[in-house]
Amino acid sequence: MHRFSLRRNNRRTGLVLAVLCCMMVGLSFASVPLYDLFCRATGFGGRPQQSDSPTSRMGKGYDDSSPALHDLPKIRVRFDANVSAGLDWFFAPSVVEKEVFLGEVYETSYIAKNLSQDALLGVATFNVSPQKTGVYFHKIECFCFKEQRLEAGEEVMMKVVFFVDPALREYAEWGSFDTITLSYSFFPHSDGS
Amino acid sequence: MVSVAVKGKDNKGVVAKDTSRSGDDHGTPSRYSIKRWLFSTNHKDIGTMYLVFAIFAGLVGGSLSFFMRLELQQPEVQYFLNAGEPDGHMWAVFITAHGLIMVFFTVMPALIGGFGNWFVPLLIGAPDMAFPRMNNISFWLLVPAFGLLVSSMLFGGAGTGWTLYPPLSGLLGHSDPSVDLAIFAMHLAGVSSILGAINFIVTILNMRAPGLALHKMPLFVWATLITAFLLLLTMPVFGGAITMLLADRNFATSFFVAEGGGDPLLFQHLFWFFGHPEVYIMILPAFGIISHIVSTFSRKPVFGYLAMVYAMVSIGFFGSIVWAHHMFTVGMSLAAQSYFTIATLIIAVPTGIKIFSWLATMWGGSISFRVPMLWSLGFIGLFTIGGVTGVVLANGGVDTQLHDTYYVVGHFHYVLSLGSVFAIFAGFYYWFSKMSGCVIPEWAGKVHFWTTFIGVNLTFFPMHFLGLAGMPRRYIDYNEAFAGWNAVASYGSYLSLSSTLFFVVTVVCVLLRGRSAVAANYWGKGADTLEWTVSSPPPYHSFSNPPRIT
Repeated sequence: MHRFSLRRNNRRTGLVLAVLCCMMVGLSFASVPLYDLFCRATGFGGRPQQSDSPTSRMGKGYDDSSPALHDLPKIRVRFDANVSAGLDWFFAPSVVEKEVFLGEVYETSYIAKNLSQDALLGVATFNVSPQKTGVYFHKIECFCFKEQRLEAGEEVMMKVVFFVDPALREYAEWGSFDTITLSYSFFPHSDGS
Repeated sequence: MVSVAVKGKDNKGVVAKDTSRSGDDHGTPSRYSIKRWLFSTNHKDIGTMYLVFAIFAGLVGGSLSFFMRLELQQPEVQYFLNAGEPDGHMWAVFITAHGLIMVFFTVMPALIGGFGNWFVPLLIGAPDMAFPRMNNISFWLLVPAFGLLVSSMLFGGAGTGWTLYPPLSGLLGHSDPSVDLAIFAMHLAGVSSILGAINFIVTILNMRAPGLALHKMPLFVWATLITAFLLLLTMPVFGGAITMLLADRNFATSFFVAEGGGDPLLFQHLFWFFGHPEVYIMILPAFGIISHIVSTFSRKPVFGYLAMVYAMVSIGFFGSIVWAHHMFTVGMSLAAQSYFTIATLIIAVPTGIKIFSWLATMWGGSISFRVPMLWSLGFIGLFTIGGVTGVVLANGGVDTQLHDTYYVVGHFHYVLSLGSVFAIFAGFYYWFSKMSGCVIPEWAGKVHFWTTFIGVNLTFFPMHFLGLAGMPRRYIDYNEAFAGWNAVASYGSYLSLSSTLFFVVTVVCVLLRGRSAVAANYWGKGADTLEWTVSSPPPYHSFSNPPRIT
């Protein structure tokens, strides 16, 4: 074996492996947006969907005035609220639960009050349980879409507009649960003062 | 094995003419020269340093577990006290340090850095590793890594477990810099093993002696090759994950911080994407060593050479796609749990092929129960027990009950502490005279084996009972009901620790007594790989002219 060509070969193989290693580092960082995208797209981990108007996984968009919709079954939706210890807010649902028809659009609200002496910026994380229903739970409007600012002592009603996809009936575990819980947790926003 | 591997089908034997055998010790630096060790580019010297380092780190990690067993010997807290109060954090720091030291600074350096460096070049007839200076860096990165990990204990200590899950490892759980230091330690150890992995792959792919085709390669070399690929593909992901964790802690990012829109669960996915292949990284080289030893002491080529190779390849492959079986309790969907259960169970098939091939190698062989063979037989039996409890835990439904109980602790100590570590000792007794030219008396090896065998089984077998009875892991104290088996486990651990100290004293005495005349192939017929064609110890530079394999 010629030492010279062996050295060149070694260097080439080594470089290929180093590139492979760098690609894996890249992949680990790429996994962050990919994982987020995956959760958004599949409702994985109980992540609700975000939509502009009533649409269904069954295919086409539909109009909630369509009479056939009221033949659809009902399900109970519970509203849950949590606040991080780092945020001095009162936060609770105005209605604890609602019977909803699948496919129909509903509006509900949460009460939030800043208990501190300063203006505070908060942001809410959310999910639904059972987690598998995340893909069927759609929000058209929600205070959780962006951070909320409350002045000292300010109290507000925060709106959520949502519907449950009628395709939920097609879901294999339909019938094994009668309630979907929508949960929010408010955290201090990192830019908040 | 390698009889198959090197001889080929005609069984004519190795015709390896090591023309460099005599008179190539010129240029050997003095053993007492600091430069020889600090600047070493010689695969044998670096291998030796790795082995010494692994033994040292193993003693540190082992004494941590001694203190843990001392505490667990009876209910309530007797030793881990801070101002008279039980100190659960110190306990967590001990289990974390024990895990990280044993994984990154004992088992990996011994199997990959130690035996890999020493014997991969010898087994393929190469003069050295492909990148000797990079090899030096690999080793010397490990020392500061170990220093960083130990120094993290001075800053309050990282009590996260070796898994470093956020939010416990985040600012919320550890506001002092201890976790940062532990992360830096893992960075260095990770870079060290990635560089080592590149070195091994290049060496094995490009520098085999003429005639040594891939399918004739000894099984330990195959094991090292597969291990190196696993390291190369998964270690960078771990590096990325802990770097994100570091950023979350110090630069207010929120990769894993829920309130910033991150997901702590993602860390678990990234960690186990590395962490599960990591357990195969620790066991595959052990498989390789055991194959050599079983073949040598049965005086038969290993049964089913190709099946053994591809069993390891498929263990490596499947091992990389089953990571979430460590996370059955996080709220995965039924479909995901089914997939990870089934994929995990599949690994039992290639593993079974290996176990049965070792048994078939012994079948009809002329077996001699020398010390390395005893360790190998111990390995096969105990690893199989660990494998079987692994099959139990692979089931998502069962694991939901057993998750984070002592059953899991028992399981992974059977495969690692009794599997990998037995293989390390087996390899050590098998190759010690080859590496050093000194001889460990047979009786001492047997005393070491039997005391360790009894000690570790006393320690870890009762853990299965404790786990099934519901004793959770990672706690400093336990219910009175668990007292009996915990006492047994503690007595067992004292026995194994004494046995390990006996081993260290024996080796030191043997080394101090100096070399005796050891034949090149002191195990005789059956040991037919290339390392047995060079003298014991081998010349400083071996195979400067590659041997010819026919």
